[in-house]
Amino acid sequence: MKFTNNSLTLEELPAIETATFHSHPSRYLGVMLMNLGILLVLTFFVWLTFLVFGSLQIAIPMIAVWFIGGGLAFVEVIKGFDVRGYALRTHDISYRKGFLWFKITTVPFNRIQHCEIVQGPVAKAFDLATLSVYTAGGAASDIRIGGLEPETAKQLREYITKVSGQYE
Amino acid sequence: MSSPDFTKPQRQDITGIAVYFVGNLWDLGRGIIYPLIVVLVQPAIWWLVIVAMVFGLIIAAIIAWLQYQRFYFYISGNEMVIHKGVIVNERTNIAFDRIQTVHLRQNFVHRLLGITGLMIDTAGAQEKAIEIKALKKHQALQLQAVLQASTPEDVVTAESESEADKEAEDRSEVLVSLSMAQLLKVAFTDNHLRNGGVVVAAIFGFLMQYQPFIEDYFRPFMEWMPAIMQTGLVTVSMGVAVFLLMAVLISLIINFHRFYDFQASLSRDQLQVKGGLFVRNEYSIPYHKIQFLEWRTNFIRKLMGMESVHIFQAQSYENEQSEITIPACFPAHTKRLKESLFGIGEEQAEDAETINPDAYYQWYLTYLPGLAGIVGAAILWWFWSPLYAVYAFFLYMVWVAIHARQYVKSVQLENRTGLMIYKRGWLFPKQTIFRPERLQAVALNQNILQRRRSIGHLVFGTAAGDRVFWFLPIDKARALYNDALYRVETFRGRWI
Repeated sequence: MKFTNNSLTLEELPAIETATFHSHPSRYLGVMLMNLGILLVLTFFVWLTFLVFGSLQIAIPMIAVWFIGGGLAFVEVIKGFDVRGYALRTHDISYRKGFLWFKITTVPFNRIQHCEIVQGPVAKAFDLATLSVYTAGGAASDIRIGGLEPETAKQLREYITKVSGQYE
Repeated sequence: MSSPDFTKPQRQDITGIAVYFVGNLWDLGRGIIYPLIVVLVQPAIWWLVIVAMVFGLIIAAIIAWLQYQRFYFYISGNEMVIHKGVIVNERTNIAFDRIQTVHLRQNFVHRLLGITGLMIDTAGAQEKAIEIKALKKHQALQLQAVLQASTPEDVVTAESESEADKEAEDRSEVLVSLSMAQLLKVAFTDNHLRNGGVVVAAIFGFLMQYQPFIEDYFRPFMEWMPAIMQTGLVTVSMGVAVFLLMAVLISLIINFHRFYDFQASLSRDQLQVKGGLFVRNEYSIPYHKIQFLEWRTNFIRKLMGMESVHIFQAQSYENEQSEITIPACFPAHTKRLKESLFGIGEEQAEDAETINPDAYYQWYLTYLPGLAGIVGAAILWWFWSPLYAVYAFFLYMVWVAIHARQYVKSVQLENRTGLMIYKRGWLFPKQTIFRPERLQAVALNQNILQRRRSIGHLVFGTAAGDRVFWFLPIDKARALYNDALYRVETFRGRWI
């Protein structure tokens, strides 16, 4: 076989921007809006307590923060849902999310320590699951893909476990 | 001395009972500090304190004996197995390939008794490092060699501590050995404001917990405060001078504690670092476990040509020992270290690409502190004088503008084949060197405003923590992102 060793430029390398990202089922948006709603209601009651028992000097800035923060969170959930998605390539898995604060993370398969599926009570009620992929790099280097179909999560976990096991 | 057979269950040295006893007394002391302060306020129940202390001593001794009896360890296949626990028996299995660092640790009790502790840390673990508290030094060195061995042939077979040490010495080259004069130089050129500030904050935080009990003692002083404040600049200057003196003293203590009798050596495949006054640590770090190195200095040390090198290894979430420091590195030491670990010299590589941050970074570093300056000026205006507020704000903003410009000018990312070198800082320069193939993950962050300006932050996740490259042009950030992934995914060597 003829030995070849061609030069590579950065432009020729596979680009994460061109990967195919798979989106979440639409009911995951309902789950996120419901969680946000619960948080806003709870914080509203905290504000109400300040209003009744505390002072207006604290309550007025608090309600302003509540409105602004709540509005931004609402925009982030709605617009950010279209951005959310995972991409599976031959050598890595990526996850992107966020509209106001965008983030994309890629974990190569040869760095994965283990992965697991978690299904909390709310996720179970909506028939959704979360896949977590762990590396040796700590929380900032791990990927957490929530709102997956349970079957999809299971298939992803099995595939990742099989491929990452080849590198041990 | 014969080599112990680690495949059979081993107990610690019998003097470990004393180590456990002192440790239990320390934990007990921390637990009773609050009631002790209560008692100081009510001396009538002193007899109760004496009874409680005697009872505590007896309990601490019994628990120490039980801790010693219930602790044993052995090697089973490719795992280290540790059994321990007083009430509940715990068994911990540690696979060899999960072990990141194994180092020796001696506090004053260990040194009195002529023994050492062995600390084992695993990457990504949710718990603190595992400690074997009391071993004879030759036994600890042999166990350390076994746990760090990549193959059975690497295991040290020396039969005595002196022979193992001599062999290690013959093979290694001393990189840095701190004399007393150099230690004093390191201590006097440290960041005194930071050290003093941290200690003062810790003391205040501690005292605030007991405020109701101690405020009676401080009441007379608080009543003098308005009179003291009215003396104005003289008092403030004296207060600052006292704080600076205390800060220098604190720096001296911290540096002597960390770097007394310090030595760093390079051998064929590992870096050995040892030092410490009250607690002496000895590290042997295989080169392939080093995730990245970071050089740091300040403007005084820069004038002397001195830097400190921080070695980052894979860490567990709870471990604080993952960063090891070599102080007092001069250009010759830095050159040797770079050659040994990275195979690079001081000359610029021909294939290096240099990337600078976007100009928006300078604006960001100006307007954000500027907002804080406005708040500060408003406070000065309200409580002191409008004239002082304007002067202070003007001087502050001049400083912020100069700092922002100089800092952004200093930021540079050099992308070479097999290496990335990240430089930043002008008053406190830093240089981080790492191999992209050791990365765990790559991430790109952008907020909506940055997206419009086509800039973003690139995050490189390593097993020793993340490093962020701020405000990169987005095309450069994406190219680096893809390049780093390519290097990780095509790398077939050991990365941890």
